[in-house]
Amino acid sequence: MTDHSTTLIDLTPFTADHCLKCNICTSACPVAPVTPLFPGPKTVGPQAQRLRLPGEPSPDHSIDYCSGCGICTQVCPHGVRVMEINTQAKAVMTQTHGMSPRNWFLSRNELWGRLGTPFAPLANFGVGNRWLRLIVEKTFKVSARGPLPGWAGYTFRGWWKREIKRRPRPQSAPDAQRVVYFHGCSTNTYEPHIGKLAVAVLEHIGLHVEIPPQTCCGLPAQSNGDFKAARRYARTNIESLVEYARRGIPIVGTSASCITAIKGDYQHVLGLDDEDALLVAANTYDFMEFLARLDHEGRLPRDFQPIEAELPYHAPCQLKAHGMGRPALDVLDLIPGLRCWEIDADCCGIAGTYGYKAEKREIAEAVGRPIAEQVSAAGARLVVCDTETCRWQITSLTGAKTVHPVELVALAYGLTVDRYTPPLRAGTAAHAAVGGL
Amino acid sequence: MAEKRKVNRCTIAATQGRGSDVIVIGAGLSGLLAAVYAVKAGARVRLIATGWGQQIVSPGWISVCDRADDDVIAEVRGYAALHPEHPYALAGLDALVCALDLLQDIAEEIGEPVAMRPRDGHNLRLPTMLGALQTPLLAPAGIAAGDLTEVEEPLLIVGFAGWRDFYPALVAGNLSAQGIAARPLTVSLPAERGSWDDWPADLARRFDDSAFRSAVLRQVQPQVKGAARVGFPAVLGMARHAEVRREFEAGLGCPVFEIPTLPPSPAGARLSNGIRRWLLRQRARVQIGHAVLRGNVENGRCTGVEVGALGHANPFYADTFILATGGLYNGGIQSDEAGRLWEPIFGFPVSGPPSEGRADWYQGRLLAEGGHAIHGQTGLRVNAQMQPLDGDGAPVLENVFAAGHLLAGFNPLTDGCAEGVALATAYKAVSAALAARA
Ligand SMILES: Cc1cc2nc3c(=O)[nH]c(=O)nc-3n(C[C@H](O)[C@H](O)[C@H](O)COP(=O)(O)OP(=O)(O)OC[C@H]3O[C@@H](n4cnc5c(N)ncnc54)[C@H](O)[C@@H]3O)c2cc1C
Ligand code: SF4
Ligand code: SF4
Repeated sequence: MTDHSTTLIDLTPFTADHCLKCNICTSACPVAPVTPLFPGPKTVGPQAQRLRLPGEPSPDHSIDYCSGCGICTQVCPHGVRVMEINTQAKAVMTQTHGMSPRNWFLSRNELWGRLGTPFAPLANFGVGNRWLRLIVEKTFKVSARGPLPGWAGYTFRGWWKREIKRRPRPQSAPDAQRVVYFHGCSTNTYEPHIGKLAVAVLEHIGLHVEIPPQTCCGLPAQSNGDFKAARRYARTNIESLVEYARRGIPIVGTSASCITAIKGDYQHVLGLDDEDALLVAANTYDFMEFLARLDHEGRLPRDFQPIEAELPYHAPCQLKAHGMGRPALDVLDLIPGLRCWEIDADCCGIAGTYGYKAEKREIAEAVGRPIAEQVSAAGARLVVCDTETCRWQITSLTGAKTVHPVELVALAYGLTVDRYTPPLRAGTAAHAAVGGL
Repeated sequence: MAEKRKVNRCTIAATQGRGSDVIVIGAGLSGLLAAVYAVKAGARVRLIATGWGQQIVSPGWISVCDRADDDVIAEVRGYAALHPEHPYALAGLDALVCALDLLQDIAEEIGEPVAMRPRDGHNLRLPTMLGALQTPLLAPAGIAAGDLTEVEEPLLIVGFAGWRDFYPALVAGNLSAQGIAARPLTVSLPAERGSWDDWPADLARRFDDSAFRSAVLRQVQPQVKGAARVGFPAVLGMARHAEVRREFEAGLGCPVFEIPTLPPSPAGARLSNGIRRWLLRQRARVQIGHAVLRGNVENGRCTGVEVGALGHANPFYADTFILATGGLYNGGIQSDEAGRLWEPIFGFPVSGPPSEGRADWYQGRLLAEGGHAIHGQTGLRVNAQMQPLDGDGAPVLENVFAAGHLLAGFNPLTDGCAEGVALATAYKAVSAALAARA
């Protein structure tokens, strides 16, 4: 069903007609300045769009160097959805030229996460082995320097199944006290502690947590131009989540980029604008956004123990796309003693799967350089960031440890989970250095 | 000019939890300065904008009263006395002077200093890339160094072979035709970049690289031949601009200045980027990318604004609000084919040219004397506190204050005062907002 209140010019390809060619997006794009291979968003976006005809091959291949970070869309004062135009054009290129095995591999994060889990020690050895990584770089063009996570050796879903058996939760909660948790692939197989902490925080707030079946959000496939696979993933999630959305039960997720996909890309990039898709989008929240909302409603407990620390925070490009501000900072500001400040950087460079590609690794590192500079200038050893690939990238760029904001919230609430060591201690001086404010 | 006034710091608990002290809507010159001022005054600030305003692509110079022949502030004072509806008259001269000081302070603090003529308070006379003269009061220091008021001649104007955005012979020729001796020089840029043209900002970033700029400098050195000053397009570095200019002055043995280029202008970006970084380090929020859809109003006060976002709108709360959303070209005022004009967030009354549809908005010629009615007569009417007014001249909302291009009473395209008005009204709006909170 198409929403008839949407006029033609609001559809992604036609937003190109709002473009005044002011070049504000060109000024802001973090990729164009660091590589001669990419002319910038205005050129490959609204400008090239005039030459793209439906059903015809895409005329400009430099668009492959667009990382999809979406900064161009955000800075455009005239509503041109530049990144979305670029992503759609990339999909046309993939349709025309086919998909490389490497891109197919990177699009199936969900599959590798599941397949690797039983063999975690072996798989982790492979990921950590420099020689193996160089061979993979040569044969598959996956950068040996791209920060790959290790498998946890168990899945978050498996843990949850055991957990509710061990400690069954009462099923009688009214819908207003229920919440759905969307964990994403990375939490499921690489960082289950994020999911466990998220559940602990939600239950501390007094909510009944539900974790329905779900799959990859589809973003990796989408950004590699495989719209068919991305739509398949999206459909599976929408079908599983829509029942909760209908009941007004919020769906919250700890991966800001998965949540961007559900809230925005399903509609604006993949073109899924039916009632179910829009309903799910409207009821989906980033985890920290959800906590900030609860706080406005006076429903967020404020029994925080102090954390004495001054920490840099990176807002991932895909989080900036939400239009929800910086809820992580708003919530962390409630913790006594904790002073977080936002690093001035559009994107860490990884942009999903972009920074794993051998030919783009150098670009990704150059894009992330401002983060490394500011973290090092502040002498910080711990950085806060809401998205997993960005955290891995920041650690690889800076040598600093990285945490999801939920880890600090849990710490301040005095919550912890098994097989997890908190990054700091609450109530004591932090090991992050204090830069002048 | 009046003596420098320092902003007083007051202390407010540094948490953004349930709402900010000030939400600034708009990230043009007005919005950025308003945010800086409010942060310096100790307020918790959230800046929200659909996208970047035009400041980031502008040459970065500040027109206060372009036509003034002598003391600019004195000229503005005289003008304001005769035009009580002009934003300068409403905001007051103190606001203008304080705002200019504040801009100079913050620019200095972030390492992108702006400069005016020393002592006399007259306008600068700066060359454009066509070799015409513009007369702003303030400009980024590197551009202000091109002031041609007391010209030592000859000038050497340097451009780059094959670069489409700047023609030294055009600049030098037109300056010479106006009696300012100038000579063009074209040098080549090291190693071609890609298969497309460089934007000015691309070039500026290449100048951050010392090997690149040394190769340029080496070609210019033997050609200085007694030039009193050397002008380059404003691409002398992005992050390292000050360093690049120092190095060039030392290497060429004479002052070096910049001439603004086509957008995106590195000069505007240097200032905007620096201010953004400063705001973030002060723990202000900077949210670029999504439009404010509407204000929520209760009992004559705005309680919060809703931002159009992915999935669902998002509310943001504050005690006071600064509306700096720009004029007709920036989304602050909307129009349609029928000639209706409206302010989309709060629905404030918009005054416009008396007309039946859009036909009466324009004069016959594009560059008509006095400009077009739509640009000179459109905007929000405000009082001296910068509060938008209703038809009876009463403030519509207690805690919403407007600034910049959005205001009625002046023509931002033809009056030669657009930046001065943006700064003065932003300053006054924040002063009034902070007073209203206290
Ligand atoms: C900022 C700027 C300054 C310029 N300055 C100059 C100048 O000084 N001198 C000069 O000579 N030139 C200048 N140009 C270039 C000049 O404007 C263009 O060359 C000219 O407008 C091209 O006209 P056109 O009709 O071919 O294309 P356009 O004006 O681009 O029009 C193409 C139209 O087709 C529509 N369209 C495209 N695809 C579809 C589709 N699938 N279905 C339906 N509609 C579609 C587009 O939306 C658009 O409305 C400038 C351009 C810009 C952007
Ligand atoms: S896409 Fe937007 S920001 Fe980029 S040139 Fe066009 S109008 Fe300007
Ligand atoms: S999505 Fe990012 S990399 Fe791509 S054009 Fe836009 S700003 Fe540049």
